[in-house]
Amino acid sequence: MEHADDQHVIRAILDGDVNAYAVLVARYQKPIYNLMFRMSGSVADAADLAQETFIKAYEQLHRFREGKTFFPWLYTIGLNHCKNFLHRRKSRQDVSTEDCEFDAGLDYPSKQEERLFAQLDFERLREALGRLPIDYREALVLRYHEELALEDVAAALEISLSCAKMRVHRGLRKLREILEKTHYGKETIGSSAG
Amino acid sequence: MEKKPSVHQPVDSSASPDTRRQPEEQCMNELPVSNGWHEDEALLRIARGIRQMPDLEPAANLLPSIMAAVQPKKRPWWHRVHRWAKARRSITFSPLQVVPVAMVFAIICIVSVLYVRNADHQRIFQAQQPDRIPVVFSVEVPTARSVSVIGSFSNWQPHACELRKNNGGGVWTVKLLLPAGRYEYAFLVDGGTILSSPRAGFHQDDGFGNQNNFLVVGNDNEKSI
Repeated sequence: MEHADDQHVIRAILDGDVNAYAVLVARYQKPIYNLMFRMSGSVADAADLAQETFIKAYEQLHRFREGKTFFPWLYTIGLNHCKNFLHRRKSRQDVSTEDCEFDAGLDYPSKQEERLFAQLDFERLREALGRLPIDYREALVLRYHEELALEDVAAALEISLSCAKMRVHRGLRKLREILEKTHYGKETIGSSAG
Repeated sequence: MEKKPSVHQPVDSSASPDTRRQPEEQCMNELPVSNGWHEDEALLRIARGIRQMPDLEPAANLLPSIMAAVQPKKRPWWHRVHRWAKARRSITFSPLQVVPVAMVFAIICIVSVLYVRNADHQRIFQAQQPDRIPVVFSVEVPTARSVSVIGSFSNWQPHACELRKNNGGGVWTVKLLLPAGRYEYAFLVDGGTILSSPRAGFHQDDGFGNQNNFLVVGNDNEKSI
């Protein structure tokens, strides 16, 4: 079951095998948790929101349309749930990551990759992403970090395909502007390119 | 989630733009290409940075806490019906079990074909004779064995239009489709006796001592003789 595709697992759950849901949770808890962290800026809130998202998805699983991709559907639930949470909390949507504890539990890339991307300051990149509007930020994360197809990005954000392309395109440019303003772009990207 | 294999290529600023774009082609096809390769390179590096950005690991107790919260739930009835209807099943049967079903099916098919053909025939017949007017001939002869109507519309052929006896009575009837016009007619009883209808309003001598009835068929109403 651990290696079964999402559709197979979902069918098993809907047939009454509640334990099969653990496969989906294990498979997607990291991106959902990180989504919640990006949105809320709090490790504790991210855990709660991720848990609530998975429970909500389980409750609504019978509405999931067979043949569709599961992760964008789950992501949509999580995104909407977190937006409601932020609305209730009346919190700023732009999240600073300065207070985050990156020391614990970080999954850094391999040393080889680390060397290749030594110039990229992930902390600054994360901070710059946090300054992007949610719609642009999530489009970029889904497209490049989660490596979803544009169709799935559109599905997750509940927008059209052309709108998803535009969000990714503009989001990347906006992110570059932010990085340049913080001298990040000028010092690293600019020098390597020139 | 099945991630695409990550492509982590070192950025070589001396390579041509095409060569540089190739590893990122799948993900970067929406990037601008018209603003110079410096900008492209910067955006490519940012995209790679996003891809390589480390994730936070969720707490180890997240999965158990979720699984503790979800309980087997009875799905809505319509959902269960839907799934039951969509589920594939295999049906086994012996040839002997098929015979009665096949016979019933064959009978239904034959009856349907006959009914459709009869309906088509009537429809075609009526379509071919749109100017004909239905006329019902009836006469009460309880003791007769056979009755037919003979007349100018059938060139006085003796058995061209035979009447049928109504169940339980002595009344014989037939329905004919006649073009508009004036007709003489009489009833032929048991193949030998000429009988004019006593209820008919118009009579005419046939020159042989018999009285023929006559009728005028028009386009107004169905005539009952």
